[in-house]
Amino acid sequence: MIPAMRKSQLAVIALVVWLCIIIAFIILSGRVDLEIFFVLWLIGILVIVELIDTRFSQARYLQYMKYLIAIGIVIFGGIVAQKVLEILNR
Amino acid sequence: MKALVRYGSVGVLILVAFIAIARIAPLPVVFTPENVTYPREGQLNIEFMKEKVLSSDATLYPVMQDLLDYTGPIMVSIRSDNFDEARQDIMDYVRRQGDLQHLIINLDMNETEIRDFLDSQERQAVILRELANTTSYFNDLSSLEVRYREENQSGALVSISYQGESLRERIHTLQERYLNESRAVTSISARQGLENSTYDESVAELAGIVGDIDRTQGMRAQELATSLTPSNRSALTLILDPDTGRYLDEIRIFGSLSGEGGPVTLTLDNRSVAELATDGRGAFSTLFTVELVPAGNHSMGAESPGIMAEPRILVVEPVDSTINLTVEAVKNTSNVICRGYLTANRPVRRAPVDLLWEGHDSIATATDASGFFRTVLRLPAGTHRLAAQFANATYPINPSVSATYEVTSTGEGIPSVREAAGARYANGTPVSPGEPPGGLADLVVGAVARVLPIAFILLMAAVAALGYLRKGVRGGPVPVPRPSPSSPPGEAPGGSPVPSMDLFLEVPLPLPMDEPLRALYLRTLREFGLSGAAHRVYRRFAGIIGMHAGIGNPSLLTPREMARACTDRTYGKIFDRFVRCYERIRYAGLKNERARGGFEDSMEKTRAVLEGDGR
Repeated sequence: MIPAMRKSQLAVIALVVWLCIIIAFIILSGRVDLEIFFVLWLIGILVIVELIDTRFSQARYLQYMKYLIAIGIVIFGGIVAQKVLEILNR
Repeated sequence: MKALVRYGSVGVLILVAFIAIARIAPLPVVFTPENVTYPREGQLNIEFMKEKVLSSDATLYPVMQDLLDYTGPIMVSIRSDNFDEARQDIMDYVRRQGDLQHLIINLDMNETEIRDFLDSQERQAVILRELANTTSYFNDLSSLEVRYREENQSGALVSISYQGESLRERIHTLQERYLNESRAVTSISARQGLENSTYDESVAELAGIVGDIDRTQGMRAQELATSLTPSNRSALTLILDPDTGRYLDEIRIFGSLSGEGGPVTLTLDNRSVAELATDGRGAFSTLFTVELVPAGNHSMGAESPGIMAEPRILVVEPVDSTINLTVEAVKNTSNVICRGYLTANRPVRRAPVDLLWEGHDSIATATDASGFFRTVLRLPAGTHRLAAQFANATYPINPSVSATYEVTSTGEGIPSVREAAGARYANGTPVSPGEPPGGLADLVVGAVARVLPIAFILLMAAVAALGYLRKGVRGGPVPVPRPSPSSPPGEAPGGSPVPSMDLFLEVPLPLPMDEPLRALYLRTLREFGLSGAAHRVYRRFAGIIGMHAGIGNPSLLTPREMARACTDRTYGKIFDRFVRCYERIRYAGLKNERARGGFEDSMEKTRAVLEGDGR
């Protein structure tokens, strides 16, 4: 079993690698789109949390990550709402 | 959450991430002129090339087969008068042709018969589209015929008959073209080993469509010949279908000219709008787009040298328009970019738009073919009010004016651009500034209509976020067998005896109930460590709660299930907190002082409350 600290380190490393991949692709495409960057980050952190989440106990850092995801979901809702507004204004 | 659902969700998220990356990622240049060396593997190895061709074929055939299978259902839709569905299928068909086009380019198969196959498919798509339109027109004629027959308009009936004949001939031509294409396609597909049965069905269905139209037109001509005498046949007839339209609607105009035929001039309010040639039978037709025609009733006529048709009334209905404007400052200059969009029932194309400056001066601009306009203004120092206005009576469109912008210019830069209240138009009538168009009720309804979906989405997002946070923290209550009043003491529902404390204590580790909890904890802490001690304490509590709550066998429930089972008890919350501390030590393996202190604290609180009333 991987100790809790090790998991938190793995989570940070995985998230950093994921962000690096996204940034690399954004630089390659030459088109900086913060919305896509944000959504990809959210997907990344969701996947990481789902993979390291434990069934019976919840470490403090995992709880903080979940708060972060909850805020991310609300911001994602905001992005969707903004897109809907754009479509309605067309 | 079940493991399958959990990992399924993760898989979907990863897939979405890859799709998003694929959308933003450019195509990599794999073979740059610098790193390509010749000869390549395929140029030396014939077997490799053969494999390559085989795999290419394996990619192509399903797409070709798909294309072959498309036409049959489209013909069926046309024959059963499902023209919308047919048009949708044709669009899909054309899109699928694009896939084959990509494959041909990627596999460099431009000179092969696969390319001929694709070319033929493209021609067939054009034929199918024309066939759907023509058959739809032909069906419309039938409803018009009924109407004119009821109104006893013999001239119009003659026109319909001629027009029907013209459409029938056109459909025959389309059938010939389709049959030519089908011969080519069938031979290619037979050589490539493709299945032709669905495609053959399309040819049979087309024959059916042509047969139906021949029959209908034959009966129409026969009825006309018997019902009309030569004296009541009009020399020049004109029909509008429909006779009412709005901006950019298309009106089908057709008619017939008896005698030798010749050019027919269409007039709108005595102004010539089109010159039409008649076919061999004297029929003519065209599509008239309502664009620069003012709203109201107009007289549509047709003339041929020496003959004039009975004029028809074309009713043009006005539509409301909306114009929006955005003003953007250009950095380090006193210029602003004014851009916007004018729309009515459709985008208003190539229409004049006035940019109102200070409410009286105006600068003319115009929309493009998609209804957008854009112009750059240089603003002198001061504060200016800008708005865009559309008001042109030659269009069947009511005037409109955008929101007003207040722009401050220093002469060298634009420090502020903000939206201000301004005059608007409601139903074509200017209203004073500040008065909302259509009244307060419309404004409120509009605002609610805009705000509601946004609020709903945000609410859903907040609910999703909350749901996510609560996921796994609390579940539903665990069904716990409780003794019913009818059950005798010591028996669970169903007659099975509630296990006594002794039965629960029949576990590998001895749990002496007479030993004080603190002493038990300290003793097992020394012997088994924190995890073992926590386990003993939990089991002591579980045994007591099991008896209070009538739980059959507490050792069969997980700590969390135990906690859920007693949520309605006074000690429910305290025990829940204790279980969390216990889980951290027992399952997460925490051994530090903080975990131990927290556990001991919650243990004491639970003990105190259980030793209290315990209910």
